[in-house]
Amino acid sequence: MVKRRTAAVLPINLPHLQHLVKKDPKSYRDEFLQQWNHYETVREIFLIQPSNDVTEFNSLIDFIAQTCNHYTDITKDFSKELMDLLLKNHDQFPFELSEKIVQALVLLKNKSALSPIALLQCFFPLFSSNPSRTFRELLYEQVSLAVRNANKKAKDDKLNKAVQAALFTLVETSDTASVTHTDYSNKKHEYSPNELSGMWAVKMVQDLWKRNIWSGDARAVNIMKTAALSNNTKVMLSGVYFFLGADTQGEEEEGSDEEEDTDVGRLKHQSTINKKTRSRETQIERIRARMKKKEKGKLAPPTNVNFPALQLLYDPQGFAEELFEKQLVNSKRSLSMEHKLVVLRLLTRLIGNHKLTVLGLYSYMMKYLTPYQRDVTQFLACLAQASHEFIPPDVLEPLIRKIADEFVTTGVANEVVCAGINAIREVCARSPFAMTADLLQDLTEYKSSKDKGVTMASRGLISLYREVAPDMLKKKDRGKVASMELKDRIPIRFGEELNVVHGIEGLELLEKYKNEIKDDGNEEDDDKWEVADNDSDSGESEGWVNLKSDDDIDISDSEEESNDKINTEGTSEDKAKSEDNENKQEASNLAARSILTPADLEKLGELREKANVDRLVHGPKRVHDNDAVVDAYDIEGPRKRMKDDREGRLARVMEGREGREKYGSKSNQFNPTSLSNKRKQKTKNFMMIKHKVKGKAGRSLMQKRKSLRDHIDREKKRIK
Amino acid sequence: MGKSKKAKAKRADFNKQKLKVGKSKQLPNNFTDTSFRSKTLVLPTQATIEKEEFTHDAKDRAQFSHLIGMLKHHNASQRQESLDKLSHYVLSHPGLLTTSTSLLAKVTSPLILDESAQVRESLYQFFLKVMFTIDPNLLEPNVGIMFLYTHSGMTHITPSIRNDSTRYLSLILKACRNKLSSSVLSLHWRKTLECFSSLLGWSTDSASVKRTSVFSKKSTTNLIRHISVCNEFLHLGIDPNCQSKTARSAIHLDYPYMEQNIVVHPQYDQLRTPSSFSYLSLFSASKHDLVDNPQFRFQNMLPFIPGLLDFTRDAWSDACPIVKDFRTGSGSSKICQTVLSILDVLVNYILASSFEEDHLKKQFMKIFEKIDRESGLLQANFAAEQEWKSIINQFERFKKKVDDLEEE
Repeated sequence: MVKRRTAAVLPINLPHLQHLVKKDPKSYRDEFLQQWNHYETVREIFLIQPSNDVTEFNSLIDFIAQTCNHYTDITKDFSKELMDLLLKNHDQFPFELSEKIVQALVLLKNKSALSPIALLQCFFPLFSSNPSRTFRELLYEQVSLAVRNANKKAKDDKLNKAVQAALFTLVETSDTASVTHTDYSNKKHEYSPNELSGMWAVKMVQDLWKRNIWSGDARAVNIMKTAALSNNTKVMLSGVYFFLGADTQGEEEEGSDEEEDTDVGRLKHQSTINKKTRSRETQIERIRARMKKKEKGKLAPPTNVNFPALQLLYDPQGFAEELFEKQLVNSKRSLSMEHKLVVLRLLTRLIGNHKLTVLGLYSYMMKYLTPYQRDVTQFLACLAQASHEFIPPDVLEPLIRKIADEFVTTGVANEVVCAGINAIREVCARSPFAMTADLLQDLTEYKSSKDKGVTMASRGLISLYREVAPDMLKKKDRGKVASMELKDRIPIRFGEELNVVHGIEGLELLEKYKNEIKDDGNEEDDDKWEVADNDSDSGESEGWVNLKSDDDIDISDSEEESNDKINTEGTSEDKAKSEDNENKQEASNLAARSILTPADLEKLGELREKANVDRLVHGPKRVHDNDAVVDAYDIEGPRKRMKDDREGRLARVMEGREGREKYGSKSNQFNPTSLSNKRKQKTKNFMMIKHKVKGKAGRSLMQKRKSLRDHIDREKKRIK
Repeated sequence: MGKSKKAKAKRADFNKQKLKVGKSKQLPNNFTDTSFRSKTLVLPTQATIEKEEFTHDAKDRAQFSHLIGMLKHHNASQRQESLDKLSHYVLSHPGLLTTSTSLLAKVTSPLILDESAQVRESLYQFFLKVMFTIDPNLLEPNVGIMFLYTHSGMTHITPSIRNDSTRYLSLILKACRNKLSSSVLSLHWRKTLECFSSLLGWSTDSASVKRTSVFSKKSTTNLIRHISVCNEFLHLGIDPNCQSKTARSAIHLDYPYMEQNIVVHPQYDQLRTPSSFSYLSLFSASKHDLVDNPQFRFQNMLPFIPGLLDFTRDAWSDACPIVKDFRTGSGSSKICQTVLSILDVLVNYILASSFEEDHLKKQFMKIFEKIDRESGLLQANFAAEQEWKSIINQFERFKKKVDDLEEE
């Protein structure tokens, strides 16, 4: 009998077949073809008779997506078919099916059977037309993932461009789709998918910006610009918040970095010596966590320079004007007060940042500058942001006059006066010409007010004008330095830029430092040249050597190398000596005399920082730095805390107790029961148990004997 | 006293009532309560006569929809039972067949893909007894969906479903042969051929690995059915002799209108059928060629022919006994017969003088010569047996036909 060929393994379910196909695609071609035919018929059936039971269709799609790369000749149209299917019928499909198709398409993209751009081109139209939220969430997730993956190794500019173009159109269409109409019924306004698509687009840009994938991308910024100008309130708001928030994000990170500069080594050392308390332990824990975070940050790949989004705008003046026209003074647009305020914040920040002129804004803000206006400090802060030195003084003057009239009068609360003067100071710090001498002198009278806030505000104003234009102040307010300098002072003129640093900022500090170092070096040079060497290395012009690499002590260095190092150090020492000699001749300008090395520049930064700290500690608390951002908190001034009522006090107490353990000894922490009665008896006062003791002792012999006998009997019974 | 009382009562009318906090105002004397609502009047005796009939009808309808719903039950025996019940029910209510044909087709044809063999068996009975007894005009629009599910069955991954699928196909083909218009066949021509190619294992492209043995001994019965259904299908599609039957007689001239001298479009009768333009495939998503003609169908079939010829050769050589002691399966004669029949259909086209594909002619002639040789052996060894004798006769006829065609 002829032995038959062992029959090929015939698969009975799709996962099995999938496994077999992956192992040996050539010999299972027929089976695959069969399933391909099956898929086609099932698809036809599904199109004729859509049902909710899509498990079979799903599994077929899955199977083919997984294996199609082995049979490209049969399945070359598969991805196109799927996309057609999705695009034409997505709104009727049950969620599982559309999800499966999306997954299959992503799989095909990963198998490079489909270009990412084609995939995204298929997905984007669905954003605006699919009614299901979950589906759009899925799409969002996939698109975002695709972009992130594409940009993982290097920036994929082509893809980014395509996606950004698509997002741009999404934002634009959502703008045209929405029709603003006042809705008097209390019904919640339902957004159409078309409108929401703008939201998704904005969200995506924001997300990718945050993830440092698109940060610093001018095109992304301009998408957000379009969003901020949208008629759709939601889209508009998220666009505006992007500009307001994207800037602060970087600063926050920096701020936290600066905080970390606490001396870790010292703290660790202290922890070994000092008494170990819980608070110290938590402190160490906190620092350790922070260090870990910092390390992680170092490990992360260096991201591109994060320009603030506001700086990347193509046409800030046009944007500002359009923002003002479209969102604030548009009669068809009725934003709520909060939203207006947000837009105003962005607009004024734009103006302050780029020194723009939108003259309509100031008359527009006029009506909001009354003490009764809600959030008036915000408005005042906005006004301060919107003022800069290039605004004609006659535009700002009426505003300041109004603030003075409305806020700084008798018959209003001290807080109001304080806010008014602070606001005027902030405006005048940026645009000093808006003030007249009479008004200034009136306002400075408030320095002798009884309220602390008002006094401080008034003094702030005085100190500001001491710097800017002391001649406008009363004689007695000018102060010693200002009145001494008054003669040879060049008065500022309109149109001049304020706070411009000429030359290199802090150069005189460096010069001073160098002189000091030179003296020190001379003293120590003879006996301890190593120290001097260190100094010359860090402070001087030795070379364009990276400081850090010098500082690092490489243990694996061979001896030869270290010898070399010593040699070079020796030569540097010689150089330093010669330079020291030169330095003896006093020169007025260091920069003119020598070239600043990176080491110098680093030192310069250090010195500047130190000077800042010194000023903060010893000098006036506030410096008139004309930041683009003004906080409402600055306007409000110091607030005296009002006396709490009982609830408030209790809440404060409870807040303090949150998360702390209970006081009390820790000895019986694990034994929640109290002492036994026997134990308690031992510590009882004798007088309390005297009668008991006395009763026992004063018994007659008979009674004693009886009780003893009883005891013996009891014991015997117990033993038995 | 009486007087004073009266006086008090009189005075009370003019006294000003004091309003009290938290109490409603005192009602005046002439107050009328109007807070009631009108109520509907119900006369329960009105609808008694129709009610019974109504409920009877509703009950019926409920049962029908219940049975249809039960067809999707997860338990196989439940499905089968409800299918049987449904067939009884429909037969006892013949009106349903005309009113809800499409519903029945829609609901029952997915069961072609049912996992349980019993369900498929009773579905076959249902189709045989119920569905294909329906008026062809009603059946025609609904054959499409049956075709679709049959295709799906023919390519299904589970072997038993695949094997049973041709049974339904044979039913459909029978209906096509007798009653339906040929456009139904044209619409599904290519797809069915594809399904057959995967079912019988002849592949359209050369890339796949050839199976050496087409048949496993186990499933000869299924294979025989597949081949014979395929044969039937080919005959129906491209045999010119079958075409006259499928085309319905075009025009009935006994319109009532004729007597009244009303001009009627000659294809009026055709337009009366529900799916008279289905062959145009206006509404189907897939692209079909408009092939409502055996010649076109054959053109459409061309890519399948090499595989089909290979398959017939393999089938013949597997089934045909040459040596006397060769164990012959019960169905081998049947297979040989069908193979001959298939070749018979193809020969008209392949050997036609207008046919240009030379390699197909060569391939065909090779097979023909092989069969010719083996039939000689067959005559020598098996001439005594009835079944083989008939095959030999069939081949003689076939040979004559080939010779005739070659002469042309």
